[in-house]
Amino acid sequence: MFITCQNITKSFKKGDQIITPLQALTLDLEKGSFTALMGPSGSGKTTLLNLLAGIDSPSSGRLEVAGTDITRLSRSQLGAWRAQNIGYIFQLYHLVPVLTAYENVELPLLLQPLSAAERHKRVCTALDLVALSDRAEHFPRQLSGGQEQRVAIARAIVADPPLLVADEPTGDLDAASAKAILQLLRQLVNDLGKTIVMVTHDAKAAAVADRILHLEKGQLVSDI
Amino acid sequence: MITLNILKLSARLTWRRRFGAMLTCIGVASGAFLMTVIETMQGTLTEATSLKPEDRKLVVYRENRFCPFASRLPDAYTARIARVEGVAQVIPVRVIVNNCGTSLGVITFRGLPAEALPGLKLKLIEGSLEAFGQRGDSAVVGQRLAQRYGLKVGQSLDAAGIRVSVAAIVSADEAKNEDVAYVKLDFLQQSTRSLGIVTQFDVLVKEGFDLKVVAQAIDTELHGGQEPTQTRPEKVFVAQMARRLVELIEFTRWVGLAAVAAVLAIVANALMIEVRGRVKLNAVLMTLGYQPGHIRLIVLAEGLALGLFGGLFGLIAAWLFLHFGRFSLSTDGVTLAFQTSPQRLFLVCGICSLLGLLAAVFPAMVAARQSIVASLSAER
Repeated sequence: MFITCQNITKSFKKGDQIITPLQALTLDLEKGSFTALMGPSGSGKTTLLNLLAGIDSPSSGRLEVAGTDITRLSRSQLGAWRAQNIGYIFQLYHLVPVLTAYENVELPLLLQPLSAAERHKRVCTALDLVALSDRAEHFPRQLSGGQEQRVAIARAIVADPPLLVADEPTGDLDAASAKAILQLLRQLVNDLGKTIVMVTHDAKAAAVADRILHLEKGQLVSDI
Repeated sequence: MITLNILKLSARLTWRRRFGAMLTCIGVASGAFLMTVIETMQGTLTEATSLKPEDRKLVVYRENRFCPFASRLPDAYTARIARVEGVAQVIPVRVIVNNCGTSLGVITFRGLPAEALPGLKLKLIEGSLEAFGQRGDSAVVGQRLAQRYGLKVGQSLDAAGIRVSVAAIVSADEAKNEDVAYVKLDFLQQSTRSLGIVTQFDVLVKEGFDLKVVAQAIDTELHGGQEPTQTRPEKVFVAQMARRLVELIEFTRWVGLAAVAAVLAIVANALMIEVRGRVKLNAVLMTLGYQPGHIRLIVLAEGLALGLFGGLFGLIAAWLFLHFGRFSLSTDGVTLAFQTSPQRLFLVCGICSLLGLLAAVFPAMVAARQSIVASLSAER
């Protein structure tokens, strides 16, 4: 399996209360699959996504992603692991406002021992893939929401990570832009063999996925 | 290669918010300006008052007198001093100043025999040194004094009741010798109705002789004379005569320390604000795979850049200020001419860079420690 979660629990203290967004969750995901995570607010979808992306760590349980037990990695090791294995797509894009589209896409490549020419080639390929080559020198404020999200997708795929995680990638977009983004994600799975895990509230968006998981109160309630 | 990429990214992020960075640089530049000026004052004072083994000059002054108006020695002492073992050269000097107190921009006349002028190793900039020998009221003016008062060859200089004609403008190895008007001794004695009287004797000691031993021998030789003397190495003489300046300049050390603290606080504050404003950006970078060490490097490099460039702006401004201002501070006929050196400029630049780096340490640690998930969901 590409992703294996065994009895994953995540809990934290908030004031006097102990919050447990994920409780003893067990889950396997195959390489090259497109999975949608659905559920009401507070069901643990984003927590699970963050755990898979290695930006948060579980309180207990075992979590293996792309052949690595990431619960055993230190903060720095997790950073290096994310650079190789994860492409994160945010709902609000989170592009760096003072950098151009090209420079935003280039960010993950700065962590790799590549020549400037090789980086240029890869950034151009990624921007080409999201059909934004003509906007390379634009700053995020000069782009529409849909274009910003496409730049964010280019940034997520430019280092060629095997796993893409997307937190409501169409949540802030109009219907047409959302459709284009979903098509693009589907294309990444079909053409490039990426594994995608996407959090969404939207049933239409989820329909693009191969598998739909429903979470409620930190537990998996359905697997379609 | 990765480190270089991250340094370039840090530079890019700093440059793209250049308005804020420039404001910080201006703050740092103000501190660096102050530091450079104070460091120059301290350095000038140290050079003027620290005795070195190669120093060979003594000053013979009237005992218990601390002002050129009060030091009155007969010029007949010249021959007696010249006879003392170890003395290579004696120049009787009459010093007249337009202000004996501590002041900026004092005009100092040094009256000395015409034949002593070549020994001062002055370099001619304008006019003629021969004219100095031909005309009684002619003066050779140091370039700092000439530039401060806009003097040209052929013009008159009128101060302290003395009127001279500028025969030449010269530069010298030491800045203090460029802040003086050299006139003929007999002319100055006549002008001040003090024929046969000088203020001091400048004595050059032969190599291999101990300055203090020769000084004592001179005082012993003149002990029975009409005016007792006190002979000291030139730098000790300057340190004692200029003690008020020394106190004043040493006080500025505190101002310098305040400037250092200001630079530290300005950069640290700017970076803390920047780090707080960049909580989300840092979290995004970490999500993309940047490690805490990379985030620290970005902030540290930014601190270093702010310190370095702020320091550079400040010291360039200070250099221009000191170079074109040609400031000097005088008291009791002793002048300290402030002149900065490349070493001092490099020192200030290095201090500012180091302070920028130090100021960035805490913000860098804060930035690298932040939780990615909490930062991504933060309000800003």
